[in-house]
Amino acid sequence: MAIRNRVKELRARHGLTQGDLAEKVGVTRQTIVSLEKGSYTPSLLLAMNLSDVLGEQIEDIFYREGEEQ
Amino acid sequence: MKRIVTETVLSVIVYTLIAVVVSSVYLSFVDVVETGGFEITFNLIPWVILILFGTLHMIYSFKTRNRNKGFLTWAFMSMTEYAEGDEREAVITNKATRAAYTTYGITIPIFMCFMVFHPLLSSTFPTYPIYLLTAIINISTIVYGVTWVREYRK
Repeated sequence: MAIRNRVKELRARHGLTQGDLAEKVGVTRQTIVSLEKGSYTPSLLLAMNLSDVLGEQIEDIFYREGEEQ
Repeated sequence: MKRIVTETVLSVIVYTLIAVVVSSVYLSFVDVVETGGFEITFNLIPWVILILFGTLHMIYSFKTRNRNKGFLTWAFMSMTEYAEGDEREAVITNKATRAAYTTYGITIPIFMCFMVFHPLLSSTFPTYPIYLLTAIINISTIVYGVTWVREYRK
């Protein structure tokens, strides 16, 4: 079962570019691109860092496919 | 990604140059055995090209290395094609390494079978086994690079 996310939506809400977000969570911009496309599932550590930067609970950012919120 | 493609190409060239140099040394020793003398002559051109190219490769690899790695770790503990700039690159490197390892498992038995042709080729192509070994490592290196790029673009 694939894991989807709302990173693109939340990033736009915070007015961050992919490069800004990548720098804040300590990854490359390409990782954010893959994350937003849904082709990469992050580690728990990266998910926690994203949660901190985007100000949302992990379960509000990531969800299982078919369980859209 | 550009670095991985460059490193893969450079590695293939260096492995091939090593094969050329080792072949020339091997042929020199064959001459020694056949003539029974003690005079060994080397063609220096392959050596010079290998040393120049190897030096350029090392400088490029050192300048583009992961800054978190110390010199000794860079020099002895990792392949130059490895890229672990963040967790996704580490995952991609793991997948590419796995693909390259699987390739070894396939190419080595096949190329061992190719060794049966060595007696037929030993007079015309005496360094055949050296180039077979080089082909194995080159194929695995290319598989590593292709897998890395394919995974990176996902």
